Amino acid sequence: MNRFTPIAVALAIAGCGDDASQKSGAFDGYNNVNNSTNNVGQNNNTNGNSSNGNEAERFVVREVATTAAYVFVPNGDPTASTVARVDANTLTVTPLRVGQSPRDVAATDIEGIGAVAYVLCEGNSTAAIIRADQPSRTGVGEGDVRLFKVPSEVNRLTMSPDGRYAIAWIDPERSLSSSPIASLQVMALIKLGDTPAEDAVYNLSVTRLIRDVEFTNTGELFLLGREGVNRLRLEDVTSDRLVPKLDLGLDSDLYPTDSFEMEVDDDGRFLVVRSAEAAEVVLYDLPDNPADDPIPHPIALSGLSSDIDLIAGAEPRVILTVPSQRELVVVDVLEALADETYTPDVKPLPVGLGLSQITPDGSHVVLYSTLAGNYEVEQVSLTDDETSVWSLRNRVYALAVSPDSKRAIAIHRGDAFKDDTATDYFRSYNGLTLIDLATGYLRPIVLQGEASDFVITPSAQGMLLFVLLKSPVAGTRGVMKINLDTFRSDFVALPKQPNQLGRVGNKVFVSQEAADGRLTFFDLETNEQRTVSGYELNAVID
Amino acid sequence: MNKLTKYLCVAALVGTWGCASDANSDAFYGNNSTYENNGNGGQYDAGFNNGSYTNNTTNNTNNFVPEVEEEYDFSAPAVVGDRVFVANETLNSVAVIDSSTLRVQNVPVGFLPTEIVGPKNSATGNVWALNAGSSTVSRIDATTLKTQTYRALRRGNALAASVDATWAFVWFDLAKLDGVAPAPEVDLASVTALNESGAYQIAVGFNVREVRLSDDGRFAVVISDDGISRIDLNTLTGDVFAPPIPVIDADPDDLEIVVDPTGSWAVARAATQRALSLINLETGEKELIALPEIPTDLDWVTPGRVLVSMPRTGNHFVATVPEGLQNLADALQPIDPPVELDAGMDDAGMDDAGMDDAGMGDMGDVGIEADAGMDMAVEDMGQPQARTSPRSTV
Repeated sequence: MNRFTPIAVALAIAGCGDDASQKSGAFDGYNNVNNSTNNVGQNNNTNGNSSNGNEAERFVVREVATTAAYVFVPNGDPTASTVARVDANTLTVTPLRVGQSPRDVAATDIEGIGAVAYVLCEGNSTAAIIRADQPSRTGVGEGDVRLFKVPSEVNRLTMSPDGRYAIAWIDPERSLSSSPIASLQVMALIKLGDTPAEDAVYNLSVTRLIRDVEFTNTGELFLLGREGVNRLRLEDVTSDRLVPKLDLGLDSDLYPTDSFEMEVDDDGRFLVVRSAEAAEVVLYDLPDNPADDPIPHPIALSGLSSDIDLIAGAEPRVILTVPSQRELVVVDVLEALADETYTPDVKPLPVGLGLSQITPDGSHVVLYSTLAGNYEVEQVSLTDDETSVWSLRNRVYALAVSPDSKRAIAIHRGDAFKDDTATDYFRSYNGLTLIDLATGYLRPIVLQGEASDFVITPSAQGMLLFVLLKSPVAGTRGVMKINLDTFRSDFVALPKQPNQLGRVGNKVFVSQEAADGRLTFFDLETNEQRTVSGYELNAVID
Repeated sequence: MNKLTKYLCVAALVGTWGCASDANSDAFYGNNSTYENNGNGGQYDAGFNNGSYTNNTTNNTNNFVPEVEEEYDFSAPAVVGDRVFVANETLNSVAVIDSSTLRVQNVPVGFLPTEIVGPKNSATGNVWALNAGSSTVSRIDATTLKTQTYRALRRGNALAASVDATWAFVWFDLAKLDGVAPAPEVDLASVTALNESGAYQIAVGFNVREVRLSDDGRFAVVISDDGISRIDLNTLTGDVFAPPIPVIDADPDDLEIVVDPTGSWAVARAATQRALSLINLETGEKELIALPEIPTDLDWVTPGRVLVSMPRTGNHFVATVPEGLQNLADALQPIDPPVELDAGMDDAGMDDAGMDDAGMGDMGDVGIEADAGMDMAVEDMGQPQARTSPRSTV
């Protein structure tokens, strides 16, 4: 599945088809520009207290506007109308004129076209399609830019995995349109043509209050919102249209439309739905015709589940946590869909923890909890019954597993200082704990600021984790660079508040809040650090 | 002149020189360090031990409180041949004093040097200065006085070196802050290892208490709340992580850990448990040895022998490691009922036979031999109170 979650809904970064060699993500909850106050959904608890008793899985897959050679950075000035294209090899900066107030940018390389970027410009409700390697329309420099009108209500841009489509939609987590008349069900589908003349934008009517967006590798889009689930074959859209919701045959008391959760197979074969109110999971064999309603296949569980993850592949499996029963339930999806009497594999757990991450190699599940008083992390083997439990020194706020499946990274948030023991000091600061999943070695690291973004990537020095640290205090904002092979940690202070982190070429970049633009690059081969600043004005290199 | 006397003389010398007497006093004794001549023939112990209760001795068996040995850190200047190296925080330098001519040279180092260590019993080698203000370490060639500076652990505040000062280690010692909250950039779970080739970050257990180095300089042993990490310095060429071996399931503040001079074995006791933990640092294997009472003190007597004090029953054993300790579990049965004792450590002859005075060596002669296990009589150890114990002969 290729998922984009607006409200930090359950998500297994490690097991959802990301690039196996690198990973990036963000920790919801920091008061940055992407985090509005109009939160909806069951998992939008951003302070980590989980006062309602529900687990809060906080990792989201974050789109970084990079291609093999470029970083696209929107101008931070609200009145500006440019996107900077930064060449990661030469660090040269090319301003590209787009619509007013560019906000979201998504980019990829497409064979035959080159680097393509989509930009949502909220100031004048436009979407820009940039063919960055092609000559500009003025004949001066590079970058063919086409602008299209989109509904004024949309506030978020998401690109399909193949880069051929993007959707501009309403993310209820973000500030909504200030327009006195607004539709909450509009969405724009942006279609990239083989030539600029074939580019098109269509307005669609879909469910409101979208809380989950998933693309399949087969060219389908699934939306989960207040009205239920929309299914759309992207190539079928040739005009503005209404997208009907699927009738999933669910009891609305057990499956409240504002809270149930779905998983979609990467290959578009099946759909899985679970609810915190129902002691079951429901599988659907997706019919070929997107307009046909699928038939539910409920599988009973011994208790209420609190998380669901999907292992893709030829033998797809669904993993569910049932913390009240201390169980991990493994469902062989294809077998379950084929056999009415199918019984899932139930693995007993030493500790009942509600959230799970599947290791990228699919061999283990790492379980944790964000609830107060829980410090344990446990690992369960999917190939045998081996389990391990480790007690951390602070509550987990968010957790990820490295792409090589060797390390888990548990993020902690600072709490009130209580005593003068080392553990209390650690708890009083923001921090993280690296877990060596083979030995259980725990490496606690105090963080100077609040972790709000991360990148894991291979390098000449080994597998590196970059954690973006935000802080109101100068000298404590920057990046924590951690070698996941040796557990070495180095803090790199940045003079400006960092706001985005990503990898481009053989560099990791950090964009910072600066009126004239500021990007710092860490070279993964040479370990050099260089900063490009002032590119909004005249592009200088420090 | 014993070591203490020598340091005091140096302190007086630097005080006369007068550039930074405040800084010098810190350099000599550290912020919290004191020295106590505890009757062990002038031996002091830099081992960690943070037990907080007092030494109540043995008559009241109903309110028995196990003893916890008080140990003290002692920070000192480095003495190499005729030269004395003193960190000077005020001038961001190290003062090098020729003890024969009293000539003083100033060697610039990093910002705010607070700790300094050098080789033991050598007229040449490296002197290491921890520059706490810049989180760096300066290596000074004790002969040429040339310096080289390395980046070290953020906010590191403790420094140790191998016997020949080929290696130095920096870590953050929370205890030195004396209850003051550390800055958020501290690293509570790693140490920096330095030699002439460079500085390496070694991830270890949480809350590093101490770094000890084996007599032969081959191993470094890092003691933390999570246990003991052993680092083979012969193979250390870059950043690594050294997972700690847990020692005993107890509050770290209640632990005493002793490590043998070869870095091969460790023995741990907890102030709350009737047991010892014997750890093979090469294999990571751990063995819990049950005892009839809570042991109150551990010390290495000679290489391969450890002293275990159990004053309540009047038993003070010198046991070979590992065999003697392993046999201890079989030899000592729980004592029921507890015997009335009127003798604590003093009566056990510890004061009379301080460790440096070879008293313990005598005990070692009659201690638990590797081949003989526990075929010794406790009476032989010269502890009369042991005769009252039903287990006095084993």
